[in-house]
Amino acid sequence: MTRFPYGLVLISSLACGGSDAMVEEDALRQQAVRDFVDVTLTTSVGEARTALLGLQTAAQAYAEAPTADTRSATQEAWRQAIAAWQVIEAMAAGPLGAPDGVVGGQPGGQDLRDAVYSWPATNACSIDRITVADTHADVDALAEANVNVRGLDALEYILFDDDLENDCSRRNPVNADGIWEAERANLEARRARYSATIATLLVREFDAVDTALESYSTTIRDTPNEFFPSAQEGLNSISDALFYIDNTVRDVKSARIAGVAEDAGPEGRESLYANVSISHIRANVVGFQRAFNGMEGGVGFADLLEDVGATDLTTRMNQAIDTFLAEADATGLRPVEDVLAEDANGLTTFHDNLRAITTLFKSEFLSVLDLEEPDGVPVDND
Amino acid sequence: MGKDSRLSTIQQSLLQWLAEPVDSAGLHVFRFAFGVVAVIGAARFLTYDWVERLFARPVFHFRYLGFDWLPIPDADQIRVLFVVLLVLGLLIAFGLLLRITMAIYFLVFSYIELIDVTTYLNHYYLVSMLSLWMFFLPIGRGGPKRVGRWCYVVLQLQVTCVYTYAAIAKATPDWLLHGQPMEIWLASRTSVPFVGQAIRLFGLSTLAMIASWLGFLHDLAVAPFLAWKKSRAIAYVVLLGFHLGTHLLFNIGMFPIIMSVAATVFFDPAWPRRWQARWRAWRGTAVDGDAANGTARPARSLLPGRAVGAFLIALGAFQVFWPLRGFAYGGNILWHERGMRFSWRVMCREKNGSVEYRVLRPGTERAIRISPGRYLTGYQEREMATRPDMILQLAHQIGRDYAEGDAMPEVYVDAVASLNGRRAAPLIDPDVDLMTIRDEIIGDGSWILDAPAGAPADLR
Repeated sequence: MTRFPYGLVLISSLACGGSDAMVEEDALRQQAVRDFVDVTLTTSVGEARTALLGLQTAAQAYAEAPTADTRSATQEAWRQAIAAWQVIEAMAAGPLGAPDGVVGGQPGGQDLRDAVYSWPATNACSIDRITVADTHADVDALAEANVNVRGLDALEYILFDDDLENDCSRRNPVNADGIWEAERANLEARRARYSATIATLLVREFDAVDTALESYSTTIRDTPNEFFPSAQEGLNSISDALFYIDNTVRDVKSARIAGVAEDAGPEGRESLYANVSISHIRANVVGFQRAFNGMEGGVGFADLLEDVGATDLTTRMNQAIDTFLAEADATGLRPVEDVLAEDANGLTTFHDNLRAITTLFKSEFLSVLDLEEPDGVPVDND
Repeated sequence: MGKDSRLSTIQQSLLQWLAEPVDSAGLHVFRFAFGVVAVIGAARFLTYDWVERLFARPVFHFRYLGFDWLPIPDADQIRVLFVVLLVLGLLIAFGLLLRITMAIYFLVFSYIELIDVTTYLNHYYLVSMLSLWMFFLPIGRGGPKRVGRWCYVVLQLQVTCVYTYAAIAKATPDWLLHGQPMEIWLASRTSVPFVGQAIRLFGLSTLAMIASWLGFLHDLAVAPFLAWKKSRAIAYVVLLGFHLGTHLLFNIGMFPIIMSVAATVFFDPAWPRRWQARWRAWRGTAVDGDAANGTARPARSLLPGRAVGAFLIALGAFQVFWPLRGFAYGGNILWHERGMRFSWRVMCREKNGSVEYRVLRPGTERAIRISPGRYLTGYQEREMATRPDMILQLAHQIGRDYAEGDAMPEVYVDAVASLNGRRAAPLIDPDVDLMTIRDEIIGDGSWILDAPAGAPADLR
């Protein structure tokens, strides 16, 4: 890893209006917060936005001519977009996170994440009802609908659910009144149009993410600020977001596909339709890796660890990440069923390698940098 | 003189000394301050929504051994209890119905603390103990102007225990030889006034060593120096500086205030009257003279009765000896945590961990993994992840949840912890079925693995 020019960071931070009280050590932590937002998160959001623009183009072509080819092209564009998004999922700090005051919330949170990808809240029946009612053409109207019918997860269902059956109960009017059957001939075209509306809306949502990130970046430029009394609190906020790799990726996503969770059946899995669960998890870990190491020469957590002399921990965390990524690649990123068909325990090592990362993260990493676990109650301590 | 006779003489001298009448003004000020702190403490719980987050949100509560019969009130009931504490705090401050208010305060406060182990804090325990001691003191409104010296001594003993055992807890190689966890804490608090500048001046490691030793020496020496009249004033100034520093550095809420208030029990008992006299002299108003000169009573009558006296002696002995139990377990208390609570081991380690349970249900061969997050809030999980007794308690709950009739599952745990920045190491033996371990207090504790050897993190 290229060693970051800490001296320049200090000089530049002071030159950019850092207060006289800010000293070198705090300047580095402050720079880490800034670089996470301005470089790592912004770059990743930019990549996802580019992928979404590709998805929008493909979905519009699909809507105009719903053929197997245009559908396939849209599916591929969706894969690109979701791969870029899953990187962000693992570091959804700042405006992407939940608002302060709710469970898992953080200062500056605006809940923008759910508008892009609401899994596991996705509601297939609601998507079917919108499809069959043909009320999905208006982007503004769809923007008012629940998040679980208009994100990348909804798009996955629309693009990859092959059988043109619905997910509603028999008693639902869609089935009970025969609406679905009556509209069956139109469903493919409607799904294609619905996918184009969602793709357009997602690009718009990403404009909102861009704007919010810009504003967030300005706010957190120096500490104390509206959100954080110190750079350490800013770091805590980022590490809270990184806990996604523990409480969602490991405990839910990975445990379910590895068959070690109680609810390990296929129903609860992510990516039920596109069957790219393993790729999603891999991308999540890449997001964690980006936040940990920083991007494009920016200060990451690894630099903070090295700055305090914990180089060995940096090495071991990167080794754990590399080991996991190699294990993920060894599966060929195939559908879970294919991997498990070869070996029923084929994803146990995958899960254990992921746990190796989260264990280091939750124990040594938090200790050395004196970071708090998320949803900690700011009660007294002694 | 025979041995029995010498003992009797010492006993008589001690009793006379304890019964010696002294001004009660110092205790009245202490009582007032305690009441104010009680009001503020209750108000903080109500206004910061801690009731919701600490008591209402959890679906599982860690219980204290022997107290699991205590009912768990709902959030509204707990809010009512805190309102009761707030009102009691006011009554205590003004010394109204003191005996009964102290009794209710002690019971209600202790009850809330006994609901969930997660909420244990040393200073909450201290508040419970102080309220219990104060129940026996005649310091309500209209109480005698002179009280037996023992009324001060019991509180001085309590405060001495807190500081002395806090010092003993710091007498470890990590704290004194490696400056850990102070180094970790200082490195993340460079925005605190003077910390960053001090790091630049001394270097992080040197500053951590200086701060560690100052903290240790403060805790070790402050009580004796407060007790010695000649050093009392400077000791109290140092104490205020120390607690101001801890307040700025750490999120320890009311603790610095409670200790700053509690330390006043070492002052000359008549100190409030002296200050009052000075104030009046400065204002040019008349001075009453020594208002504490009440009717002299026979010295022995100022001692508590035999039953109360025996209870107070037992309580004092408990305070002196109970914190020592951790040493009986051997090993590193900061690692195995046996005897950690109720021992005044205040802010002496940085520890984080990760826990995942493995449950092998009857008749199955493949274990399922259970994350603690399924049962616990984030705050509970953080507290539990490094404490073997809590890990065990949750294992038992998981075992009960996965029992099939009388057939209990096997419950194992992969628990890893990092102490003072050391390499993460297994905390619990992953091959031990925790359903076979009854509790953490009794037994050899061999299911808890030894603390990792070697030095803690060596930061720059």
